Amino acid sequence: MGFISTALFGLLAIGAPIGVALAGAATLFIMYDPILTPSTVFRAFFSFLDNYTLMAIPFFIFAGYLMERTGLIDKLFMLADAIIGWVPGGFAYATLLAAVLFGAISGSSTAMAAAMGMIAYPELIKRGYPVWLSAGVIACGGGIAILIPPSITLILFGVLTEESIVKLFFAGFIPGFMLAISNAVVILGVSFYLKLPAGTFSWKALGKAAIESMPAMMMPVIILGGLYGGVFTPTEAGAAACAYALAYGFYKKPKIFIKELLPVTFRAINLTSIVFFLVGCVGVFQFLLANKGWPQDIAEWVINFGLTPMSFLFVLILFLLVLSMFLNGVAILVLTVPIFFPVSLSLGIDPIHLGILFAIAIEMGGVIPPVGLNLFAVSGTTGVPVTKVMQGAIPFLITDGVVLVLVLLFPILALWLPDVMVQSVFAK
Amino acid sequence: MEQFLDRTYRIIRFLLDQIIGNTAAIVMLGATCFAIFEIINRYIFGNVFQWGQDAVTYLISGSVFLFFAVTQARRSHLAVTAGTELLKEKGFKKTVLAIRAAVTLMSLTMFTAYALWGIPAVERSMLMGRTSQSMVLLVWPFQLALLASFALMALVTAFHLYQDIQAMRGKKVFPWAPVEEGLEI
Repeated sequence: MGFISTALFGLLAIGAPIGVALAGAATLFIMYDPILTPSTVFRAFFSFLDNYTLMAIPFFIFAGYLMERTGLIDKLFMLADAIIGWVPGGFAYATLLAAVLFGAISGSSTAMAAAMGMIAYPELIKRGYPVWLSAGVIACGGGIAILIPPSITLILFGVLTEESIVKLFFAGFIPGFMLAISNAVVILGVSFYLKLPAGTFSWKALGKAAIESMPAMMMPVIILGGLYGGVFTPTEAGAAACAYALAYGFYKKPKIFIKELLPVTFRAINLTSIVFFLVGCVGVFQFLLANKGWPQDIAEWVINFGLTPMSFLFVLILFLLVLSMFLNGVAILVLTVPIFFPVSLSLGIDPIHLGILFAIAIEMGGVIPPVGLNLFAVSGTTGVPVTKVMQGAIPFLITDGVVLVLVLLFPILALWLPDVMVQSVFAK
Repeated sequence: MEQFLDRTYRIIRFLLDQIIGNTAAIVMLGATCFAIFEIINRYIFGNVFQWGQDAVTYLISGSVFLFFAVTQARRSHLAVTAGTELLKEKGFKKTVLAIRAAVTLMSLTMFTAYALWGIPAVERSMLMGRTSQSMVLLVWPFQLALLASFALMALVTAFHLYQDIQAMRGKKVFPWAPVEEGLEI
């Protein structure tokens, strides 16, 4: 175990691709193991990707990119602005609300932050919001998508741990909503302190925005309705989301949509390829872990060390936050879940609760330097220096931390909704 | 020699970026359309293809396998670059170049090994006629796609290694293929 962890962290430290580090370290060990044969690594890689549930990831990525192309995000923005733009600091709230709404369409927090950076930032600046706040609210608001279904992070967690993705989706609701509220509290404080401008309320504008954004709002209805009603599996929900986005795109902008279909598919397969390569490499790594029984050894060590489930979770979250300074969300998941998930199970920690804690920690990691992808996505699309985006993200990061602690201390916040909703589906 | 390598790498990149990349994207689009058709067929017409889920799984994973090589050619697979970037900032440019070459060599070794180790696995699946869960689809063509992808990844990584070694020597080769093409999000 010492050899493989040294090899793994050594390779990661020198900048080896994470998948290569994971599979490479495992392969080095397997080569010298008298029982395991090298050809098993190829099979382990292949069989880990031979999974129908995993196909939800490319579908949701594709659906998100397609929706981005249909121009529905602008409509969501208009709706959010019409709903809340009239209070002091209203456009910042609207940005946040649009982020939550778009989160229900796209599963990628970075894609969301980038899209919001292009749409919301110029308007925020035009309306007199400070640069740091504008960039900060976009970077942090984007992260909420990780908790709102369909979340790529939660799907991946579900696939890696074989937990119910539907339960994970429902479990993300309340913490996601809490994150949005906590971010709104920051905006409230700042808008009072800086006397931020307010827009004007108009029923006419609200009605118009509601009608125009209706097609966008139908997407979460299809996804969540299908999942909740027990009609769709997560993969089918993803395919249905793609169907809806394709149908809307062809109906609304047929000529442009046909022209852009292949480039959009290219982008979707590019991101999927990055995620799947990592997942395949995790397959090799998990194959080794399972054969050697190392997670059980770690669990035994943790129990002998006298760590309670709560103290274990606390240490794990601190570890995840430190990791998030150097790794992005998907990488953190694939590196840590195979090791810590079996340990958590043996300590009696609820796997759904664990998944949500992972997701919140990863959400926070999206704005923790030096790797925080959302910081770079916002900086790249707005032209604001990363340090300024970071400065704006700090107050939101603090309130996110409060939410994380609350969800850690009160698992019911994550577990209540899936218990109620998923059981009621089976009771039907 | 340099001209020959440049031309060869250009051809390989054209094949990867234009032919394999676009083919993989078209297959993925086709698989998505099939998955949509399957849903309609199942929930509206009440028909179920037993092999439907397998077809979606294998078509998508097969297309993504092929795309691995495109991502590798663009050096887009996720890596932790904080350490090397810090070294670069501190002025250890030569060290960073040496580390990069070492990492590329390691990747090349891994991809080559996986491609070679994959051959008996594919052969075995062919001989045994291994099928998917629905017992309809043969698995080996998809395993072969993964094998081909590892071989292609090894091939482009060999060119990366040449590029990295030349960079260590202070020479810039393949200027049209930057070392850090990055992740498109």
